[in-house]
Amino acid sequence: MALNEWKNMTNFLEVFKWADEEVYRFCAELGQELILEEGDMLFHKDDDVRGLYLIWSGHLKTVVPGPRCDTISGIHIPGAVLGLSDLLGSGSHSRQAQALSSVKAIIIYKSEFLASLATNPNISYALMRQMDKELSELEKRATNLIQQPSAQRLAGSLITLSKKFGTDTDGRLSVRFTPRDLANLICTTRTTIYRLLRQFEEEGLIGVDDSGIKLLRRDGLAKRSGLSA
Amino acid sequence: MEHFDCHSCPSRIDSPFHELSEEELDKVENIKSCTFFKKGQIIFHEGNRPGGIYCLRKGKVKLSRLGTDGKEQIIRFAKDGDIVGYRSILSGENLSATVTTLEDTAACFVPKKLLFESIESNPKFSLRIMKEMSRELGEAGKLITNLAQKSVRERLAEVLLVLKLTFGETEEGLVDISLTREELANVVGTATESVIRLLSEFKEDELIELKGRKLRILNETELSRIGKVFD
Repeated sequence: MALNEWKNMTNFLEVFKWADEEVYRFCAELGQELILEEGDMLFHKDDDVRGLYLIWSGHLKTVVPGPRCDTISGIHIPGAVLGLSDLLGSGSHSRQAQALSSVKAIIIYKSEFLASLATNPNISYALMRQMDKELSELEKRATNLIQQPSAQRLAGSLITLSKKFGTDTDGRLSVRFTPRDLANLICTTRTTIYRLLRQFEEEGLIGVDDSGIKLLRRDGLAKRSGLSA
Repeated sequence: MEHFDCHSCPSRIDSPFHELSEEELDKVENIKSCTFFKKGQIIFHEGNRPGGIYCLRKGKVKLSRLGTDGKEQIIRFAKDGDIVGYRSILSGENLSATVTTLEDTAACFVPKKLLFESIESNPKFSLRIMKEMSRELGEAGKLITNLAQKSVRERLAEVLLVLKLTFGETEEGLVDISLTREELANVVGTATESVIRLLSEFKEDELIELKGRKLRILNETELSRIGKVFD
């Protein structure tokens, strides 16, 4: 299972932009490689936290399952860190993580991670900055969820997803999201998503076909969302 | 302004500063400054860059942010022993929330230099800060899930129980926090009118008793059932 790219510091720091040399040495010494295929689970809700996961390549979604619907709590790209808050908190996962594509990750087991924190204040700093970023995103999302109508949230999510994952030359989102994913992401029903996608299509903001969603007029979507294009 | 002694501070046990040694605490004691804030006063403004953190000795504050239409959303409360403003210091970003006192509050200002020194020199202190952030992350994640998966009635029931758990009760058995109906609506994420209507429904069903801005929880089991609170 070769995943040697991250054993090179330059490559590592290109992916984990928040990290520094000390974090690299820590991962190179203690990290082990994990490979997932699309649809594989990295962890399930309520599983004991085995360690800290650093995403090297590919995309994952984290989901909180619910009785009526699931909620996507985050979509994660290379450079993301998963499992930290549950590792330091309850010790069991508060959500599940599933690969949206082939994923390569690095795991640092819990006991080794906690032992290292005691001697490496720089690792704590770097991870605190990451946690702050995640917290700010969640707080912003909660505020939007309460205060914005679903059309504004969907327009904003399409812009954010295109910035996060990129688009091809036609403006098509490079990751294919199902209507269920979009519904779970902006916390609405699939019926509403179908209706809004059709509405955006009629307004010429997007194009929808079997291979996904194409952003045709980013400025129009940005105006609907209140974000910058 | 009165100077509060860290060594004898009753709230220190609930604060990350509990992890500092006597010697490290002396250093804080020499540098910090103590301030008294009146009810409704703003300690930190969203978007500003603070020069340090506040550790709450006694009092209660709300942390809120403004939505795109300028409406307030309360994202968290803090009380005795909690620290506020530290995330902005650690990340180097602007403050993501405004901190406003909900009652007269005494707090100690610790300059950022000392916060960094304590993190570098004391792993227990830095782990405690990380755990604090983990707790906040857990709360923020739960807020989103609740917004997506629970009705306003369910969310209000849960919020009332969380307020009791967070702030405890007065000698008279009232939840020890005084919030306006608008503030309660800004925690739950709904209109003030909905909160007023649901509170009177809860009152009619003898789940709660209302005393001005305070309330007494009469039937915790039923509120837990309504709020789908399982842990």
